[in-house]
Amino acid sequence: MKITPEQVKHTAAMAKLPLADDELAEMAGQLQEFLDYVNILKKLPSGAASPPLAPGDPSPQGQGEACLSQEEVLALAPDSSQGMVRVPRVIADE
Amino acid sequence: MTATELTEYYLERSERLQPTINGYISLTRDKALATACHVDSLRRQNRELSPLAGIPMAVKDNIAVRGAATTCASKVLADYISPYDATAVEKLAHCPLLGKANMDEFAMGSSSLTSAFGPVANPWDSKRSPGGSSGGSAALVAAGCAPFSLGTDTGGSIRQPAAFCGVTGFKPSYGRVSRRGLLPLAPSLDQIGTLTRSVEDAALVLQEICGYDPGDPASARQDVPDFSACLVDDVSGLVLGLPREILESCPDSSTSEAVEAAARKFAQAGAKVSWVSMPYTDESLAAYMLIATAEAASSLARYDGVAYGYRHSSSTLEEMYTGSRIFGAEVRRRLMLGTYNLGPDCSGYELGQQARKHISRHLEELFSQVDLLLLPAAPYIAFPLEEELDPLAMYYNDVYSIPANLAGLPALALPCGESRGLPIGMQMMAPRFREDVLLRAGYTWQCRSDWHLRRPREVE
Repeated sequence: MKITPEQVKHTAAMAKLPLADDELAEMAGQLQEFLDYVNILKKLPSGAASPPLAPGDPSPQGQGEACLSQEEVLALAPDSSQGMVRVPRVIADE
Repeated sequence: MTATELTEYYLERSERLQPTINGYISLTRDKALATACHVDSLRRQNRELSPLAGIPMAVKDNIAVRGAATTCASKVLADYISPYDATAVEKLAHCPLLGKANMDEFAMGSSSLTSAFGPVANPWDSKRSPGGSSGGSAALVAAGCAPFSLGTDTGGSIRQPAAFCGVTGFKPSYGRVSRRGLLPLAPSLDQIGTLTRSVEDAALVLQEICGYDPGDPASARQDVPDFSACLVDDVSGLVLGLPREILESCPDSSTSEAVEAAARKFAQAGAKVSWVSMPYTDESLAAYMLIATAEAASSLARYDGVAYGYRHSSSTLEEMYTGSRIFGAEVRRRLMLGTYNLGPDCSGYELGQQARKHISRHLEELFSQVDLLLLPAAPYIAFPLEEELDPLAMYYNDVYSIPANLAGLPALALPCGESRGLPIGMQMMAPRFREDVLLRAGYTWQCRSDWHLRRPREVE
């Protein structure tokens, strides 16, 4: 499968990576090399994908586990206000 | 000797060698001495203490330590102070923390060259790589800056640096050690383990960090054996499998010769050694690349400047997201591959998981014939820091270690020779949760060799 420059650009946008045009071109070559390499897997017998390794009984999520306080979480945030994380305006002005 | 005296000794040595090795991202002198002082106080009160109480340690910088920088060797987390301890760190709370060990950025690499805090030098030759991604953890133990360290192994990141630095690296079975507090790279493969000077030390540290933890959904409800009781000089009755394809195609002949010499020594000690077929090394690497990059793309999506980590100042949300993801080149490359794998044009993740199942089944069948597999820990010895390897060649460093991660197996890397003054490492893999057999064979090896006793001359 041949990867196109549009696909590389779209992938960078999905990954939210700030790649310059020359980096996109270099990345296209590297992605192609990877994809060619992993093609060897197509020679293996196909079948259902492996389930995650089963460790034992699944534990009830979050039951009785201590978690961070609101203050501790907000102390990590680059910006906060009124007990919430603050980010730039989500909806632009009309 | 008191814990405080011991900790002072290691702190002084660590601080003195830091400009040469760059094994730490941060040193935590005050924290170390506070723990040591507390342990001394408990000892004076004749309180019952664990065998490791007061023994200092280094912890890889992708494992959370409360109140300490936890950067993952990335600019993105350069100012991040963890608000909690990883479970493994909690269990070792009586071990003074000397500092956080340098590593490849977000554990993506096999050289420790991709750290945003500068490369780590190999104590055997400061112009060579210590391997990676747990390069700092391995180099610090090899240089005598820390008696032991914690590392993490997603595709070989404990075993390859252990081999490059001539120390003992133990990757436990997936699920044996809680991953709570390990900042994820590829959660279905990540495992915390140990870097030590001997198999005995590995047994002591594993005893403390293994065990079920409800804080990790993949944690195994498995009894933890008495690991030190497994240390017997006896391999009679054990069957060791030597993978023919790997030994015959290993690019470094000194490595394959050292592993075959080790196999002969095991045979003299009473083990049965037989050639086996383990043909899927390239396929393992390909499956790993698909799975690890896809999971990394998902795991690292959280670094968007919103809740923690670096935030790029911007008036729009989109620019803030993109501008905050200031990863290095290797991380960007893997995130691109992983994002593409997860996208609509590619079924890479599923393909990788299908291959993983096939390879795991093959290993399961092998373990119906043998108790252990014996193979090189890495295809090369330590390479020069300035050597430019293309990405695929760099990934090839992990080609022998990845099968254990895909199948969740325990594996032990041990020094087994020297080539051009640099250590050679071998590894043994065992069925899942059979760490006991690895410790038994590893101890027997140590009783019949002295490679683990050799120290690098550069850092006397």
